[in-house]
Amino acid sequence: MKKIIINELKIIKNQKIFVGYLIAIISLWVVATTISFKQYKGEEAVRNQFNNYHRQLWENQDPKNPHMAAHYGSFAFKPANSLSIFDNGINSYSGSFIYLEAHRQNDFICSPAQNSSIFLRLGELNLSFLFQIAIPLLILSLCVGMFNTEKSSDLISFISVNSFSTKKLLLYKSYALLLINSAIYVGLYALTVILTSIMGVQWALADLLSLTGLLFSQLVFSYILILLFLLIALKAKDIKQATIVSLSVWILLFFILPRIAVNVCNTLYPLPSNLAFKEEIKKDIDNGINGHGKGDREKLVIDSVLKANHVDSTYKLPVNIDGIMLFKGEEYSSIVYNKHFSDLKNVILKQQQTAEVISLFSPYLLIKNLSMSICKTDLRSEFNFREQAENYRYYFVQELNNNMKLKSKENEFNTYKIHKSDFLAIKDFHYQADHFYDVIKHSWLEIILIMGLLSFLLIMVKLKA
Amino acid sequence: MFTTILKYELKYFLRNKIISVLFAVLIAITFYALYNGSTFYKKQTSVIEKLKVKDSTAFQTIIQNFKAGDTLTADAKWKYKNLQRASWAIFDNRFNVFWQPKPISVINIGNRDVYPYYQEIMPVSLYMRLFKNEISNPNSLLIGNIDFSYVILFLMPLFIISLLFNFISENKEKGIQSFLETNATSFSNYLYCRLAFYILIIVAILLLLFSMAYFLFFKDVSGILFLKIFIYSIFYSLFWIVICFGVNKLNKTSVFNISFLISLWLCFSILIPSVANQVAAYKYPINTEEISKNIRRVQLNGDNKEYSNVLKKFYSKYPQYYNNDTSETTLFSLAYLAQGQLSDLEGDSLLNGICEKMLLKQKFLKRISYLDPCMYLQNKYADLTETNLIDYVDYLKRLQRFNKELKLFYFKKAFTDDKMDLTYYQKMPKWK
Amino acid sequence: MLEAISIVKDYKGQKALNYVSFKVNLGEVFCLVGANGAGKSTLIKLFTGQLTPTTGSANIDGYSVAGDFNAVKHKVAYIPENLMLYGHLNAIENLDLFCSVSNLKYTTNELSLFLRQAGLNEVHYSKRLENYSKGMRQKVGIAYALAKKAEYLFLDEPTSGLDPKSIIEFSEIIKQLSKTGITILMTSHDLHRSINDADKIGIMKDGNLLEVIETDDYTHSELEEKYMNYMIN
Repeated sequence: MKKIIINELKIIKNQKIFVGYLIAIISLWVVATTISFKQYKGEEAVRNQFNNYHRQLWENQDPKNPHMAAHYGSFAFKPANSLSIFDNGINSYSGSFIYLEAHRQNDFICSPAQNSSIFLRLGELNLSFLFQIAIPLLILSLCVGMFNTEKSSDLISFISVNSFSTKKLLLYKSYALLLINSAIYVGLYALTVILTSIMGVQWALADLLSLTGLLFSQLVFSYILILLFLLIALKAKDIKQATIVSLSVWILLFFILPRIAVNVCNTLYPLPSNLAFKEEIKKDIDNGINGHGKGDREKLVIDSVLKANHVDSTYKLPVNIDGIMLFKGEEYSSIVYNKHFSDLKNVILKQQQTAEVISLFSPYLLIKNLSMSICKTDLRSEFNFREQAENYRYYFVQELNNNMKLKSKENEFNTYKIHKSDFLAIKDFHYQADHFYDVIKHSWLEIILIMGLLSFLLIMVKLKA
Repeated sequence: MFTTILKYELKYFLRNKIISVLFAVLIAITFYALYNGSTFYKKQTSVIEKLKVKDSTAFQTIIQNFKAGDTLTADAKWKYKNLQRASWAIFDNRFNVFWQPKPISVINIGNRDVYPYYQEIMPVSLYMRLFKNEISNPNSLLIGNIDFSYVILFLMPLFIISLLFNFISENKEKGIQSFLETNATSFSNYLYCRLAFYILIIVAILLLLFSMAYFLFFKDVSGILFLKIFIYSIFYSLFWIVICFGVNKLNKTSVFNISFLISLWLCFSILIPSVANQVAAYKYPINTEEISKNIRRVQLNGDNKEYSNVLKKFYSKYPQYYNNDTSETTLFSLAYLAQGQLSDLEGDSLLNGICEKMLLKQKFLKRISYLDPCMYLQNKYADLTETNLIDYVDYLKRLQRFNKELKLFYFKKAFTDDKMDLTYYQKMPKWK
Repeated sequence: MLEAISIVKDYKGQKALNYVSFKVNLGEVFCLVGANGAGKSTLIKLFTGQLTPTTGSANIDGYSVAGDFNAVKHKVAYIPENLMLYGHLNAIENLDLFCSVSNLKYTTNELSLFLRQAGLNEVHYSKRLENYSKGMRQKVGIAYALAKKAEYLFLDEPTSGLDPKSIIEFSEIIKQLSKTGITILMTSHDLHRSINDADKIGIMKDGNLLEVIETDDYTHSELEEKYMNYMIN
């Protein structure tokens, strides 16, 4: 077996196209790594700078009433993520910070795409482009010619009758191709990590673990493509047919099917407009989700507080009723918002999952989503960030409301002020990205589909080769 | 000779199963693309219609509250009083502005799914609300839309390649070329006749696709504009036909031709634009994080000294608004107005700077697009359907101007302490 | 008359043809035999204007093909070894298309007649050529030569890959064409058929025309012996 694989490696090495493509891939890698690295470093510097700037403003703001401070607000900046060097994911289409203030759940604003012209929609060159689109083209180019010698000289029937089955021949060829691909992927991954760490990127152990997972997924992905294109090459009449069919399949799986699947899912599960979304939330806050309108709820709160404190007027309360009302109001609006946000999130996740299932035959969409998940530049990380930012908003607003409730009296709005020590007591926002294990846990659908696809192709090799 | 060749090429076109399937797929995707574009257009226009209704209702409420005057309940009296006082009313009234899509944008969604196209603004603190996005799935934005322009830009070249990759090489591989070169009067005439057929058939297919778009999905679209887009698309397709012919003329095998043509397609449609985008982003970096400086809610701490300082700063810039009323309520509301305007002033220069950078980036990419027909046509489609960056920047500028008009409308009364009445309200600037 | 005058053809520094000279008289069938790479197909390509000689000249009716092929092109028909024609068209349609390209106008009946003369069974006329065997496709090529009223027919390996029945049918057609006065230059590996079909046989080896023999003077076994002697030495 070793000798056969070595022989196949020699055949691949002698293919003219191999050297050409290898040079192209290395050139693309140089450009993509440089661009991705600079982008990451730029993001890191700018986000740290503005995060510190706003924290300084928060800590050094003039003394003011806690509710005013809650409206002065804070910012949640998405920290630059070194894994985005490998896959920038949806970063161009999502923003990098959220303004957090009392009563309002704000959105991301100003994504990079918002500052760009239509040209951005034609794509961005980065490492994921190289690994997920360019290298598969190399795999395709190598695969189409893999049976050329055997077929043109009828060596294939000679081997299958005298030595071993075509299935084995195909598998040996696939091992040889996988070896070459592994060398390319491992080499480029290692070089990227080494070079970027020399240039100052701090790779944590968890990041390296994620990258190993990503590398493994890319190898499975490339093996799927190797098997697919080798099967086509074996079944094709000649190299011409193999090339035409393989290229058609590549274009279909990489460019057309994912786009169709995503667009169809958007039609199947439409998203509400921001206008409708906000109106629904406002309606539910005003009218209540269980029939108790805003007035009712406020009355209920006041009555229960008065009752609990055995007094008949809010002025006699040991706490500030305004603080309590703001606390309860925030609590209720958060419940309503979280409910609507969760519905919205479900629609978006349903769009993505259905697209993945529809394009089951598109390994590209699967590896793309898996790679974005592992690099934490996917939808889940986006939601994760938004939810953590919203939790933080809730925390800091309610801390301030509590302060107002416990430390001030009704009608002291203009006189009661909190100071630097109180502002410092509000912890800064720290985003906790998912751990690699969580990523794997949540990427179960992609993992099952990608392994399913691999098994399907292995079965096809067994049956058809 | 020409008609016979046309007759038999047409037979080839109709009898070839793969081409028939590809053609059917092209038609089906075009139909879906138009439906998709139309759905998107309808969604945006319906949101805008709702906003118009909302604005009109809000204005009717103002009129009703005025008419109710101070004759009714305490609540009505309160509302009436607030409406009369410009420095208060300015904080109560909201205005919806929107960027109306053109009906032609059905064929090209462009970047409209990325740009915010409506905002609820207040006359002061514009930048707090200006950049809010529409809800979208960023993953879908990343993968991209299927619209009519996608069919013309990406699928049409693939269809042309599938028709013509072996235009000459097939003849060679089937022995027809040497057969014809020796036997026929002119092999090159034969080739040009066939080429003419393919040009005709591609134009006919484009005509069919554009007719589908025009008759099934449009009502009020300018024929001239549509024709312009059609002509650009023809030239783009002709470019691909010429490329296919040129590659065939290299006299290589069909395998080489298709591999080379697909590589060219990949280069023009993805690789060149991708590299160009990254270079542009590197050359003209825009830090949206800077906007965070101007989106914070305007805040004053309830200190008269602070109010006076803010107003002093404001009057030094806008002496025409000088008001010497120092009563506590006036001071408070005017100081907020002044602070809002001062913050907007910073925002204006920030936005102008960002717009300038965006346009420089666009200019740079446009220059590159002259080297890449796919980029060129994509940009042309976006320009003609008004879904491009330049249209968005134009919208932002119009919004800025409208905001200034609104501010002027309120400031005229707020700083003179004149009361606003119904006649004055009816002169309120309207978003066009 | 076909005439090869001291033809030399260099291919990348190697001599594909080395001072080859011969004549084929009107109505004669001349067959070139020899191993692969002997220069047979190169000679056919020189007479059909696909190649130009390094030195020497391939003449048809006194015109040098390299210099003035257009003057004799209307008299020439050529059928390459692997002529596939258009698979999506039937025989009549293929013939109609190629005649049209050659500025020849025929009715469907006339085209059918040419096909019949070329030996193609009428039941196949309306079938697409993608379903044809090599022999049948060659008959369409010959029908074209007939339609063109070609005086000179060049056939490159016409019998390679044909089944025995098709080979016999092909021999008959060659004889018929020869009877109508068509001059034929063909290449072959089949000594047995060559001696039956041709008037003269040219034995080639390594770009040299070793000998031209009259087929009437040799039996099959004598030709075979001569051929083997040349090949071994």
